[in-house]
Amino acid sequence: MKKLNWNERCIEHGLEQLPVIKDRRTKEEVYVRLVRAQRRARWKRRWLKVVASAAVLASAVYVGPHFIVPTRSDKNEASSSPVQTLEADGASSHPKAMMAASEPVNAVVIALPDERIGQVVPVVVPLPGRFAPNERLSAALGELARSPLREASAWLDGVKMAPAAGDGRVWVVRVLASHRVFAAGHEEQRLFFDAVMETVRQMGGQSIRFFTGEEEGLDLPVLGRLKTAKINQQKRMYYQNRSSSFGYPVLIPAPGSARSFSEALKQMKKSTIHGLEPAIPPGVEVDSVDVDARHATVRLHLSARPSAEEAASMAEAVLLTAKEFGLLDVTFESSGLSTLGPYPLGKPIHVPAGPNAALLATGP
Amino acid sequence: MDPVFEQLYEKYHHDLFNFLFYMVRNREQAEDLVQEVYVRVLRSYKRFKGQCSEKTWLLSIARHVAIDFFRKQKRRRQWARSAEWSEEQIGADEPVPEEMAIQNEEIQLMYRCLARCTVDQRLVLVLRFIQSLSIAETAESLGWTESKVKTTQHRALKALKQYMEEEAKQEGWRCEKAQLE
Repeated sequence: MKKLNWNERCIEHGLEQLPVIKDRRTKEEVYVRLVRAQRRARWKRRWLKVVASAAVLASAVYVGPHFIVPTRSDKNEASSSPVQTLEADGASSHPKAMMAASEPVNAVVIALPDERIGQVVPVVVPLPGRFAPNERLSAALGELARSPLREASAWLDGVKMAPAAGDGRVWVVRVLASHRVFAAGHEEQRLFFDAVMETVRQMGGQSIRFFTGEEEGLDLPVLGRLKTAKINQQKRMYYQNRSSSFGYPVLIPAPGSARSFSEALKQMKKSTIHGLEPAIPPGVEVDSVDVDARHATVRLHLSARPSAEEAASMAEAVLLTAKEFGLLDVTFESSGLSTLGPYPLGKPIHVPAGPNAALLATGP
Repeated sequence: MDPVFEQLYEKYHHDLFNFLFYMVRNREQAEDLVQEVYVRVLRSYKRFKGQCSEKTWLLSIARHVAIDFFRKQKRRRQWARSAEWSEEQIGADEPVPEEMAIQNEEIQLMYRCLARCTVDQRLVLVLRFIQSLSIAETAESLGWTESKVKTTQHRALKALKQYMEEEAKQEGWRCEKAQLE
């Protein structure tokens, strides 16, 4: 049996006996890493200075006119202005392009940070040709750089994502040591990290090994040092966000506890995540779901007729969720409708290659 | 090689590393943190006027670095709870270092129980008994009064004793149970 009682002196003595843990690195190795850390710290300080002066300048530009022009009338105008409503109406017009997974399209889904809504928005990007797995991301980023989404996609410049040798479950993500994320704010860092995780997930990865330059690990102030991360393997359900900075309502995946496609459709009627609304409108109920091998039939009951835009958004959310559950196509049936936006009822519709394809053409 | 670094390394590197290791209990994290300490030390070395000993100055910087680390960890835990990846996925189980694995059971128990102490308690215990600083030097390193160091030390020893007794009792209970079965 072990000793069960100690007095203070024993404890003090025991503490003095704790072994010395030595750094196994040589002085040279420590110095090399120090120089690298100093460079990173210097770069970070410089960036912070630039950001701080830009912020001061921006606030001066913003606040300046308020000292000259009376603010009360501005405020009244803003609150009674119909422009806000018009903008909201304008933003709700839904782009209805979707890229089916079965079409012979070569595409990559890239998640882009949207600071306005604090979420990452996955966007399917068609590739202009065949690329090796480790070149697909940079080819897709090249396409995004020429699109209206270039600003959001710029966060992934200097990031390489490629499957590690093996079955493609483990991915290696390399971030340049000079990447802007290291000098970014906490919210931007969180979105950057979520964008990387979601992009790898969409490409079939299950875990990630991080590198900064050649050094293993990713040191983000918001996270601390991170070497590996596992991606939550829960199936995603798609919801809608109408406030995206990309100018249109977007479909965003969120992990859920549903074990089957039909359970997922039930759960999609509610949303507990801030900013995400169910893509299935209140007047539409899912009557039944039949899954036969990799094909599903969804029967809808309508108590109110959804707009073409709502119907399209709902169909796309259901199709994308079906894809998460490994289904190939979905047939929609409803007695009150002949189409769901651009999608015909009664015919199988292939699941899409990825969400929000129309953003590439329209953009913010 | 920077001569200031060389001089500091020769004199204090192992103490610094040892201090940070006992604070964070992970070799790799201690390596990263010791780097951060050097960055901060070299940045402000010219401003060091020798009001206290070089070692207590270095340890006070190391203490700030360790506290920053714990703050980040806390934020990370809060975030992990709300985000879609869990805490254990980002590596929570720290391996016991070889140097500790070869020690007797009592020392290993003490090392395990040290992790249950608060950060302040751990700071005092590590500085006082592992780094062998006096009460005055510890107070200087932590920026506390000597009486605060004494009170925290007293509470820390009491807490550590209690944790060790709890764990030992639990393990002893297990031994008896195993014999009965």
